[in-house]
Amino acid sequence: MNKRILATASLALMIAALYFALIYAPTEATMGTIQRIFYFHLPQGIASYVSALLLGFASLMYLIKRDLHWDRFAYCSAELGVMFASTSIVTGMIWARPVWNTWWSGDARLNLQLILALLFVGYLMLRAYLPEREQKARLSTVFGFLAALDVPINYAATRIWTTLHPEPVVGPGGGGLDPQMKTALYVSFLAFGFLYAYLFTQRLEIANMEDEVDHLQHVVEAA
Amino acid sequence: MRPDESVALISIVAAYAAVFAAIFIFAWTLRSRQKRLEKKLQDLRDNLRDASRK
Repeated sequence: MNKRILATASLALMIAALYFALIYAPTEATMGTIQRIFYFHLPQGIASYVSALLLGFASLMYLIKRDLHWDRFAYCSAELGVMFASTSIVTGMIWARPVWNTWWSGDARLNLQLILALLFVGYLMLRAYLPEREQKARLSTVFGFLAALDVPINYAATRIWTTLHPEPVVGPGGGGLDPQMKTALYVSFLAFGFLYAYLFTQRLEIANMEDEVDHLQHVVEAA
Repeated sequence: MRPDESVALISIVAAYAAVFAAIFIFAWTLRSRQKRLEKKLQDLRDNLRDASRK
Protein backbone atom coordinates (compact mmCIF):
# COMPACT_ATOMS: atom_id res chain seq x y z
CA MET A 1 0.00 0.00 0.00
CA ASN A 2 1.16 3.51 -0.77
CA LYS A 3 2.98 5.21 2.11
CA ARG A 4 0.94 8.39 1.73
CA ILE A 5 -2.32 6.42 2.03
CA LEU A 6 -1.00 4.65 5.12
CA ALA A 7 0.03 7.96 6.71
CA THR A 8 -3.34 9.60 5.98
CA ALA A 9 -5.28 6.56 7.21
CA SER A 10 -3.15 6.43 10.40
CA LEU A 11 -3.82 10.10 11.14
CA ALA A 12 -7.56 9.85 10.46
CA LEU A 13 -7.90 6.66 12.51
CA MET A 14 -5.85 8.14 15.36
CA ILE A 15 -8.27 11.09 15.59
CA ALA A 16 -11.17 8.61 15.54
CA ALA A 17 -9.44 6.51 18.22
CA LEU A 18 -9.12 9.58 20.45
CA TYR A 19 -12.82 10.34 20.02
CA PHE A 20 -13.85 6.75 20.79
CA ALA A 21 -11.50 6.42 23.76
CA LEU A 22 -12.18 9.77 25.41
CA ILE A 23 -15.79 10.55 24.50
CA TYR A 24 -17.67 7.55 23.06
CA ALA A 25 -16.61 4.85 25.54
CA PRO A 26 -18.55 4.84 28.84
CA THR A 27 -16.76 5.52 32.12
CA GLU A 28 -15.77 2.28 33.82
CA ALA A 29 -17.64 1.64 37.08
CA THR A 30 -14.78 0.55 39.37
CA MET A 31 -11.78 2.62 38.28
CA GLY A 32 -13.57 5.61 36.80
CA THR A 33 -12.08 7.93 34.17
CA ILE A 34 -8.49 6.70 34.52
CA GLN A 35 -9.48 3.40 32.85
CA ARG A 36 -9.48 5.32 29.51
CA ILE A 37 -5.68 4.97 29.48
CA PHE A 38 -6.35 1.29 28.69
CA TYR A 39 -7.53 2.13 25.11
CA PHE A 40 -4.01 3.27 24.24
CA HIS A 41 -2.06 1.11 26.69
CA LEU A 42 -3.25 -2.25 25.33
CA PRO A 43 -2.50 -1.51 21.62
CA GLN A 44 1.03 -0.42 22.68
CA GLY A 45 1.54 -3.75 24.43
CA ILE A 46 0.18 -5.73 21.46
CA ALA A 47 2.37 -3.70 19.06
CA SER A 48 5.42 -4.64 21.15
CA TYR A 49 4.39 -8.33 20.96
CA VAL A 50 3.97 -8.03 17.18
CA SER A 51 7.44 -6.46 16.94
CA ALA A 52 8.96 -9.32 18.96
CA LEU A 53 7.22 -11.99 16.86
CA LEU A 54 8.25 -10.27 13.61
CA LEU A 55 11.79 -9.97 14.97
CA GLY A 56 11.89 -13.68 15.84
CA PHE A 57 10.40 -14.70 12.49
CA ALA A 58 12.75 -12.48 10.47
CA SER A 59 15.76 -13.74 12.50
CA LEU A 60 14.78 -17.32 11.69
CA MET A 61 14.26 -16.49 8.02
CA TYR A 62 17.68 -14.82 7.92
CA LEU A 63 19.37 -17.94 9.32
CA ILE A 64 17.56 -20.11 6.76
CA LYS A 65 17.91 -17.92 3.67
CA ARG A 66 21.03 -15.86 4.55
CA ASP A 67 19.34 -12.95 2.79
CA LEU A 68 20.08 -9.51 4.28
CA HIS A 69 16.54 -8.43 3.42
CA TRP A 70 15.35 -10.49 6.41
CA ASP A 71 18.01 -8.91 8.61
CA ARG A 72 16.78 -5.43 7.68
CA PHE A 73 13.23 -6.60 8.41
CA ALA A 74 14.33 -7.81 11.86
CA TYR A 75 16.21 -4.59 12.59
CA CYS A 76 13.17 -2.45 11.76
CA SER A 77 10.95 -4.62 13.98
CA ALA A 78 13.37 -4.17 16.88
CA GLU A 79 13.38 -0.37 16.57
CA LEU A 80 9.59 -0.24 16.57
CA GLY A 81 9.64 -2.73 19.44
CA VAL A 82 11.72 -0.39 21.60
CA MET A 83 9.22 2.40 21.06
CA PHE A 84 6.05 0.40 21.66
CA ALA A 85 7.42 -1.59 24.60
CA SER A 86 8.54 1.69 26.22
CA THR A 87 5.20 3.44 25.69
CA SER A 88 3.30 0.41 26.99
CA ILE A 89 5.44 0.48 30.15
CA VAL A 90 5.15 4.25 30.59
CA THR A 91 1.36 4.35 30.09
CA GLY A 92 1.02 1.38 32.45
CA MET A 93 3.07 3.15 35.11
CA ILE A 94 1.03 6.34 34.75
CA TRP A 95 -2.13 4.26 35.25
CA ALA A 96 -0.65 2.25 38.15
CA ARG A 97 0.49 5.19 40.32
CA PRO A 98 -2.99 6.43 41.29
CA VAL A 99 -4.70 3.01 41.09
CA TRP A 100 -2.16 0.73 42.79
CA ASN A 101 -0.44 3.52 44.69
CA THR A 102 2.91 2.50 43.20
CA TRP A 103 4.69 3.14 39.90
CA TRP A 104 5.98 -0.42 39.68
CA SER A 105 4.50 -3.46 41.43
CA GLY A 106 7.28 -5.76 40.21
CA ASP A 107 4.92 -8.58 39.23
CA ALA A 108 5.57 -11.07 36.44
CA ARG A 109 3.69 -9.25 33.63
CA LEU A 110 5.48 -5.96 34.28
CA ASN A 111 8.91 -7.55 34.64
CA LEU A 112 8.46 -9.60 31.47
CA GLN A 113 7.44 -6.49 29.54
CA LEU A 114 10.53 -4.69 30.87
CA ILE A 115 12.67 -7.69 29.84
CA LEU A 116 11.11 -7.51 26.36
CA ALA A 117 12.01 -3.82 26.08
CA LEU A 118 15.56 -4.58 27.25
CA LEU A 119 15.87 -7.42 24.72
CA PHE A 120 15.00 -4.97 21.93
CA VAL A 121 17.59 -2.54 23.30
CA GLY A 122 20.15 -5.36 23.65
CA TYR A 123 19.52 -6.37 20.04
CA LEU A 124 20.21 -2.83 18.82
CA MET A 125 23.25 -2.39 21.10
CA LEU A 126 24.81 -5.65 19.93
CA ARG A 127 24.39 -4.56 16.32
CA ALA A 128 25.93 -1.19 17.07
CA TYR A 129 29.08 -2.84 18.48
CA LEU A 130 29.65 -5.43 15.74
CA PRO A 131 31.54 -4.02 12.76
CA GLU A 132 31.02 -6.74 10.15
CA ARG A 133 27.64 -6.78 8.37
CA GLU A 134 27.09 -10.57 8.16
CA GLN A 135 28.33 -11.13 11.72
CA LYS A 136 26.00 -8.39 12.93
CA ALA A 137 23.05 -10.08 11.23
CA ARG A 138 23.94 -13.60 12.42
CA LEU A 139 24.74 -12.93 16.10
CA SER A 140 21.85 -10.55 16.72
CA THR A 141 19.35 -13.32 15.86
CA VAL A 142 19.91 -14.67 19.41
CA PHE A 143 18.20 -11.58 20.84
CA GLY A 144 15.48 -11.95 18.19
CA PHE A 145 14.65 -15.47 19.36
CA LEU A 146 14.72 -14.45 23.04
CA ALA A 147 12.32 -11.56 22.34
CA ALA A 148 9.93 -13.89 20.48
CA LEU A 149 10.17 -16.39 23.34
CA ASP A 150 9.22 -13.67 25.84
CA VAL A 151 5.84 -13.09 24.13
CA PRO A 152 3.91 -16.29 25.01
CA ILE A 153 5.29 -16.28 28.57
CA ASN A 154 4.43 -12.58 28.91
CA TYR A 155 0.91 -13.18 27.57
CA ALA A 156 0.28 -16.07 29.94
CA ALA A 157 1.96 -14.37 32.93
CA THR A 158 -1.30 -13.24 34.54
CA ARG A 159 -2.53 -16.86 34.51
CA ILE A 160 0.71 -18.55 35.55
CA TRP A 161 1.64 -16.22 38.42
CA THR A 162 -0.34 -14.21 40.91
CA THR A 163 -0.15 -10.68 39.58
CA LEU A 164 -1.68 -7.30 40.26
CA HIS A 165 -2.02 -6.74 36.53
CA PRO A 166 -5.63 -7.08 35.31
CA GLU A 167 -6.66 -10.30 33.52
CA PRO A 168 -7.09 -10.16 29.71
CA VAL A 169 -10.45 -8.74 28.64
CA VAL A 170 -10.29 -9.66 24.95
CA GLY A 171 -8.90 -12.66 23.08
CA PRO A 172 -8.83 -16.29 24.23
CA GLY A 173 -10.05 -16.60 27.82
CA GLY A 174 -10.73 -12.87 28.01
CA GLY A 175 -13.03 -11.62 30.74
CA GLY A 176 -15.32 -9.71 28.35
CA LEU A 177 -15.87 -6.01 27.76
CA ASP A 178 -18.83 -3.66 27.36
CA PRO A 179 -19.74 -3.44 23.61
CA GLN A 180 -19.01 0.31 23.46
CA MET A 181 -15.67 -0.19 25.21
CA LYS A 182 -14.91 -3.01 22.79
CA THR A 183 -15.63 -0.70 19.83
CA ALA A 184 -13.32 1.97 21.26
CA LEU A 185 -10.59 -0.62 21.79
CA TYR A 186 -10.92 -2.05 18.27
CA VAL A 187 -10.79 1.43 16.68
CA SER A 188 -7.62 2.05 18.67
CA PHE A 189 -6.17 -1.29 17.50
CA LEU A 190 -6.97 -0.34 13.91
CA ALA A 191 -5.34 3.10 14.30
CA PHE A 192 -2.17 1.65 15.79
CA GLY A 193 -2.18 -1.14 13.21
CA PHE A 194 -2.09 1.39 10.38
CA LEU A 195 0.46 3.51 12.22
CA TYR A 196 2.64 0.45 12.73
CA ALA A 197 2.41 -0.43 9.02
CA TYR A 198 3.31 3.14 8.06
CA LEU A 199 6.29 3.44 10.42
CA PHE A 200 7.52 -0.03 9.48
CA THR A 201 7.36 0.72 5.74
CA GLN A 202 9.16 4.02 6.26
CA ARG A 203 11.85 2.41 8.44
CA LEU A 204 12.37 -0.45 5.98
CA GLU A 205 12.89 2.04 3.16
CA ILE A 206 15.56 3.77 5.25
CA ALA A 207 17.23 0.43 6.08
CA ASN A 208 17.43 -0.33 2.35
CA MET A 209 18.99 3.09 1.77
CA GLU A 210 21.52 2.50 4.58
CA ASP A 211 22.68 -0.71 2.92
CA GLU A 212 22.83 1.00 -0.48
CA VAL A 213 24.99 3.78 1.01
CA ASP A 214 27.33 1.17 2.55
CA HIS A 215 27.57 -0.66 -0.75
CA LEU A 216 28.26 2.52 -2.75
CA GLN A 217 30.86 3.63 -0.20
CA HIS A 218 32.78 0.41 -0.80
CA VAL A 219 32.49 0.87 -4.56
CA VAL A 220 33.75 4.47 -4.36
CA GLU A 221 36.66 3.44 -2.12
CA ALA A 222 37.60 0.66 -4.53
CA ALA A 223 37.34 2.92 -7.59
CA MET B 1 -8.71 2.09 44.06
CA ARG B 2 -10.66 4.83 42.28
CA PRO B 3 -8.50 7.97 42.03
CA ASP B 4 -9.80 11.55 42.19
CA GLU B 5 -11.21 12.93 38.95
CA SER B 6 -8.45 15.57 38.71
CA VAL B 7 -5.71 12.95 39.22
CA ALA B 8 -7.38 10.70 36.65
CA LEU B 9 -7.53 13.51 34.07
CA ILE B 10 -3.88 14.48 34.63
CA SER B 11 -2.89 10.80 34.27
CA ILE B 12 -4.86 10.43 31.02
CA VAL B 13 -3.31 13.56 29.53
CA ALA B 14 0.18 12.42 30.62
CA ALA B 15 -0.28 8.90 29.20
CA TYR B 16 -1.68 10.04 25.86
CA ALA B 17 0.95 12.79 25.60
CA ALA B 18 3.71 10.23 26.25
CA VAL B 19 2.42 8.03 23.43
CA PHE B 20 2.12 10.88 20.95
CA ALA B 21 5.50 12.33 21.94
CA ALA B 22 7.16 8.94 21.35
CA ILE B 23 5.47 8.56 17.95
CA PHE B 24 6.38 12.12 16.96
CA ILE B 25 10.05 11.72 17.98
CA PHE B 26 10.29 8.37 16.19
CA ALA B 27 8.70 9.72 12.99
CA TRP B 28 10.83 12.87 13.13
CA THR B 29 14.08 10.90 13.51
CA LEU B 30 13.02 8.69 10.59
CA ARG B 31 12.43 11.75 8.42
CA SER B 32 15.78 13.35 9.32
CA ARG B 33 17.64 10.05 8.80
CA GLN B 34 16.01 9.67 5.39
CA LYS B 35 16.98 13.22 4.36
CA ARG B 36 20.59 12.67 5.46
CA LEU B 37 20.81 9.36 3.60
CA GLU B 38 19.29 10.81 0.42
CA LYS B 39 21.95 13.53 0.44
CA LYS B 40 24.72 11.00 1.11
CA LEU B 41 23.46 8.71 -1.66
CA GLN B 42 23.41 11.61 -4.11
CA ASP B 43 26.98 12.60 -3.15
CA LEU B 44 28.20 9.03 -3.59
CA ARG B 45 26.53 8.71 -6.99
CA ASP B 46 28.13 12.00 -8.06
CA ASN B 47 31.55 10.76 -6.86
CA LEU B 48 31.09 7.53 -8.81
CA ARG B 49 30.06 9.42 -11.95
CA ASP B 50 33.12 11.69 -11.62
CA ALA B 51 35.40 8.69 -11.06
CA SER B 52 34.07 6.91 -14.14
CA ARG B 53 34.59 10.03 -16.30
CA LYS B 54 38.24 10.23 -15.24
